[in-house]
Amino acid sequence: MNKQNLPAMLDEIKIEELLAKIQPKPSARFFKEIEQAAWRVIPEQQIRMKKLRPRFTFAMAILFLIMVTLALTPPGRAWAQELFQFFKKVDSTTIPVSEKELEQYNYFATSTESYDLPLVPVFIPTVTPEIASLPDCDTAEKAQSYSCQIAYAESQLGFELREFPEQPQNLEFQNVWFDKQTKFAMIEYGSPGMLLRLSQKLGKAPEAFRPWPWVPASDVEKIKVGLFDGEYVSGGFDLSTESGELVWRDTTSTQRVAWSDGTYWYLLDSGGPLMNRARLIELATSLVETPKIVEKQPDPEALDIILTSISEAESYSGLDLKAPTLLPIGFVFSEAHYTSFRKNEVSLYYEGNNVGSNSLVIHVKKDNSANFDTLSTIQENSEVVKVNGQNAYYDFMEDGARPYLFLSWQDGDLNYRLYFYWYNDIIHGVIDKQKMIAIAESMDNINVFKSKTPRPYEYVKIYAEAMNIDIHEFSTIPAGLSFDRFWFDAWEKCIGLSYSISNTQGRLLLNQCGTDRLFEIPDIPITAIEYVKVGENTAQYIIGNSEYDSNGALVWSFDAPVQQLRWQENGLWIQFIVYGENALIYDKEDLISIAESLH
Amino acid sequence: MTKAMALQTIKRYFSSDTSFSITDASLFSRLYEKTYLSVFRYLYGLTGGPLQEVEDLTAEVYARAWKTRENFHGNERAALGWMLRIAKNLVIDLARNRKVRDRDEEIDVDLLVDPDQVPESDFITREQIATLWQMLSSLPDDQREMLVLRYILGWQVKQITQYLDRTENNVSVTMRRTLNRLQRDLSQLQEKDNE
Repeated sequence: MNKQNLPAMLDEIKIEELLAKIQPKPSARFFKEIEQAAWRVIPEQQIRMKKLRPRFTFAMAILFLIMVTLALTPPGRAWAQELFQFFKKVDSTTIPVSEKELEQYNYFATSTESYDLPLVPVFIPTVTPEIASLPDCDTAEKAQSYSCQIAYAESQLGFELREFPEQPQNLEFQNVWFDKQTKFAMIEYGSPGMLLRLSQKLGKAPEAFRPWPWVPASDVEKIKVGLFDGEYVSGGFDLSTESGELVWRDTTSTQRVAWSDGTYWYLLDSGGPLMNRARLIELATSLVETPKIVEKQPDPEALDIILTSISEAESYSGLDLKAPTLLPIGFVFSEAHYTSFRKNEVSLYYEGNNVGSNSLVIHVKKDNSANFDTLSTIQENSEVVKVNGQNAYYDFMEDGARPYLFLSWQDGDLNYRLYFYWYNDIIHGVIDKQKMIAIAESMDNINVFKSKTPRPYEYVKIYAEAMNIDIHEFSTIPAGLSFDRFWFDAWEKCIGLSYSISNTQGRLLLNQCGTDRLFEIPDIPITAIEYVKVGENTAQYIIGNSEYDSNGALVWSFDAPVQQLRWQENGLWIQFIVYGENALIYDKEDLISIAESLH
Repeated sequence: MTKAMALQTIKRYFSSDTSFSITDASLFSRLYEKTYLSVFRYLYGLTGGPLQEVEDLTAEVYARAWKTRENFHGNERAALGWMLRIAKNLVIDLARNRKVRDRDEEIDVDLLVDPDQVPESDFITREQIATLWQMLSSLPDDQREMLVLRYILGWQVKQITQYLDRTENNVSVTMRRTLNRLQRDLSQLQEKDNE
């Protein structure tokens, strides 16, 4: 150490100044560790689930695409049978990653970008005639039950799903995803820090998405699931940013069992620390066609009661609750928490499906002790604001690992506290003070409930306007197409519409985005691109798709039954994708004709 | 209502035993957000590092606080004091179990300061801070703790007296003597270096 600089320190005031400059901060490692803490996991269940969900949704989209691409085409089917029994095996514990993929992984791992979440009207599901016709599923709220959701999936798939004989211990039913064209379904359960998914498909195993189906051959254990042969594996591929490749991690936090009964293919996979090999195989063996499912009612004696609707929260708390009619885009009611030793309080949780992670919590308490007329600011960031013309308290913290906005106001004898949290170390959607106030002022006497119902087409225009993108629509849906569902993303500023193609197992997707983020993904060889005209615009017509070869490397397949058309028009990126069996009933001219029918 | 009374009202509202119960995980999480930097810096100041150990200790403080949350009653400031006491006990346990640390280990000033406040180009200040940090570890525990609370956490003397249960005079005098001692030690270090 160079002591030549010390004379300047001999002043006592200088020492005080220097001491005050010592302001250490924890590293990113600390914040990651804290996120695993028990107290962090419990209230953040929905956040954790949500963090998985964007990746899951993306993966599902790829899954559907590849399933029909590979498993349903003659060459693909032969290849699939040849290459894997249940898991796709590689002889290595590493898998190469293309520069483009690595760039994307790194971007999502390190970006702290924030983006605006516009407010949109709250989504209150209605019951469709198909579900309403099922026994005891005649209201939108009843239709959310496990029984109704499974019965609906079965009615669409045309076969009975295998289920657990009773709800797995300590796990709650989350949702059932299905694709009636490929006869695939996935029943999802969750609890804080835990995920369990039962996938099944009529026929052969689907080709799935990387890195999940790839396992080193040496890590696969042959097992019996009842009378049937199966495979068990513990661990998963993770990206190593040091080596820039996927590296196998031998961990019990990811465990999978796959098997077939000759007619159906099954996969049971778990995430989280509370599962072990024996339990997973036991669950796999226990599947039945007709379970004894009893819809669980909240235990009024339980300390922390999780409720699934505002009306239930009112019933338990005895409060006449209001709930927001405006929410940040993507947010839906998740659950309410009531604690039996706090009789006049309840917390309402909302979760988003946006890129990144954030959550919205409203705590309601029967309490009028706070005098908002005479509030002074007690913290640096606090201020008195108006909610419905009355004084309210607002503060925020925008640094640290888990910043938040906070607003508290009074409505009669009820005190409301609205929290909006996000993680600072990943891409995150944010709102501002004015939106916090707008949410507070939108509170009304409505009943919302945890919904598993997709949003109907009517919301497409609402969400597009909220994201400030001027999308094109069909004035009349072209013959042979029927609307399935739509997705949206405020970070990409995208609306995506999915249409079934009659008498085929194919689909037509129409994606329209206010940014080019969605279109950054594929590495398309120049020989796969043909330039064509769509009206006045020059578009790219592309045949084929990216697929993974037997070593796990991403390569372009010109034979994949996928074609797309994409172009840019008035600041809008537009993409048509047709994929799946018989997808090539549409040729290039058909696709252009459909594209030109957009308004 | 006077401004002071209004202030009390809002403080009670946000800090009373009922509305500030940390048995609710979301409120505990909120408390963590408000206090983790203080707890982390307090532990860093008392132990002197290394960083990873301090981070583990900080996480352990919140884990223990969460486990025993039912026992806590008080407002937000009391909660911070409670956290710091848990932290101090952890440091005492650690000292009992740990071998004597090598005092000559390299000090990474980047971990101690905000680079916006003390840029890399200001190598004189950085050298001075490194020296001072090394000298802090040679102070008696109670003196070091007072300096950490006063300067690194930025507490007022009155706050320190409440936390340490000492008189204001005692805290002021002890801190003044500690600063004098640091000044003297630095002078001796300089003289020794010049020889």
